[in-house]
Amino acid sequence: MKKERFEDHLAAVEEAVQKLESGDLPLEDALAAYEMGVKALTRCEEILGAAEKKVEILLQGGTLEPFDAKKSDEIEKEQRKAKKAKPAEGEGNGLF
Amino acid sequence: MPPPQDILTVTDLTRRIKGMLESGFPSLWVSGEASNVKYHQSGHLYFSLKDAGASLRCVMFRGSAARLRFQVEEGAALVAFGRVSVYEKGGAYELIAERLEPKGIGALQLAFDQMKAKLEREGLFDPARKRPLPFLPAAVGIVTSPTGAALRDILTVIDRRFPRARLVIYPCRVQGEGAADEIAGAIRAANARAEVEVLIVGRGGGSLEDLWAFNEEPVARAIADSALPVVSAVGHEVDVTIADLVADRRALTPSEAAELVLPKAADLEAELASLRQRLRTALRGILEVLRERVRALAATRVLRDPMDRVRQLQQRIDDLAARLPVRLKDRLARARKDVAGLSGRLPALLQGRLVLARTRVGGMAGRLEGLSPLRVLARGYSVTMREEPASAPGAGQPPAVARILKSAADVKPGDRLRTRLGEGEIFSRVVE
Repeated sequence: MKKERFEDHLAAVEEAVQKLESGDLPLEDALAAYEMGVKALTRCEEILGAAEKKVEILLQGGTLEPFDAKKSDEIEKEQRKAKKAKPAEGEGNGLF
Repeated sequence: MPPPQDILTVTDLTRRIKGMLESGFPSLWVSGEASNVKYHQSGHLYFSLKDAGASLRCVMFRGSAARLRFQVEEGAALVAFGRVSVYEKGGAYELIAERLEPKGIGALQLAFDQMKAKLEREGLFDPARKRPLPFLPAAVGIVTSPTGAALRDILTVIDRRFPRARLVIYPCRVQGEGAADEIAGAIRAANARAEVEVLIVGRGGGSLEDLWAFNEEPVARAIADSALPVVSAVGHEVDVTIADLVADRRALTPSEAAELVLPKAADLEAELASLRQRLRTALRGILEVLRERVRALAATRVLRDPMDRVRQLQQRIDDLAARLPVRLKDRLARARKDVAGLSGRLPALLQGRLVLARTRVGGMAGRLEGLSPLRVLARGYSVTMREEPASAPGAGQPPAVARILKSAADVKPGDRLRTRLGEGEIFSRVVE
């Protein structure tokens, strides 16, 4: 099944609005267009509303862990210290 | 010629030569044109440097050759750094090159140009390959260093635009030896996991050397192979890398990449609110028009007073009836006009007919003459009629009604008779 896309619903809303705004729709069609537009619009809002903030980082083992920028900086500092103690290989080929 | 008492082996001699050469020529730079270039399976690179007057065999061993970023091509003007040595088995001296640089152009620039040309030939930069970015990805993947400035910038911008975004960071080193493979690996991992809908691949600004991984083939291949659309975001605006050329979209900076992959939530919400308003207004407009039409219909007499319609029809009939004579008059007038037109032509038309008719009438009149009773009377016959008294005898002479007698039984004594002769009449009374 094709994945539900926000932009498809948005396009459906826009189409309904255009239909209605063009006027001269029979009542049945106008109501159908309105209903369709509202339905698609509601889906858009639901998709937007369902979004939840989540920042994760992929770990070596292939699992996701919540990402904490501060913690990550600390890890980096430690790594830097470790690097100073023992220079990484391949460093300093001195081309530039 | 000294006696052959101190005989050297080839190996001994070669080694002595080698020693002399190696001590006599410390590491040095030498320039020349590359020829007989051979990349050996072992990873070693063999070639010659030559100029108009001489040729120098060169070898670059695997370790150094692997660090070479550009491809050594035939005829390329090069500068090599290394030391002179002897290849004992071949009995030949050679330069053991540790570094190679193109002459007149930076090695990295040359490497960039070569990679660009190669991938371009393969069509990897073809605009037709570029895929559109999803409008609103459910999740965004970021391939970069978890500690870099790029990630901080991206997170800041996304937090401002779409605070509730779902993000997955695929960490990798973005510079130094092996970084290219790590970046490529992270891109592949993101594709294999398929938990995001778009990828940002990049890093913050730095020197050309710092950004180099993004010019390397593994990264270019991984981006080209990625099923997920890729936004590249490497360094600053002025830095164009191979990754930028292969990516579906190039962001000038990591911050811009964040803006490209996610819309502003506030804008979307405003858009939806505006659309909802327009839907309502439009429908209300349509309903209002319909309501107005219904109101107009309700106001018509038919619906207000059904009998009125009947009355109106009657009135119309009366009206028609009144106008009917007028119409007939019109027709008459038209007919008259036609007749007038005809009458002009009539005399001529009738003349012939009249003449014809007169002759025929003349003939018929002769025959009619014979049948006329007056002619019979003239021959001595008479016709007798019984006079009947007027039913209502008035003051004057009442007009007598006469009946032709065909039988004596038709009369009785006393009846008045009237006999018509060839000339004149006789009045008589029945005696018997």
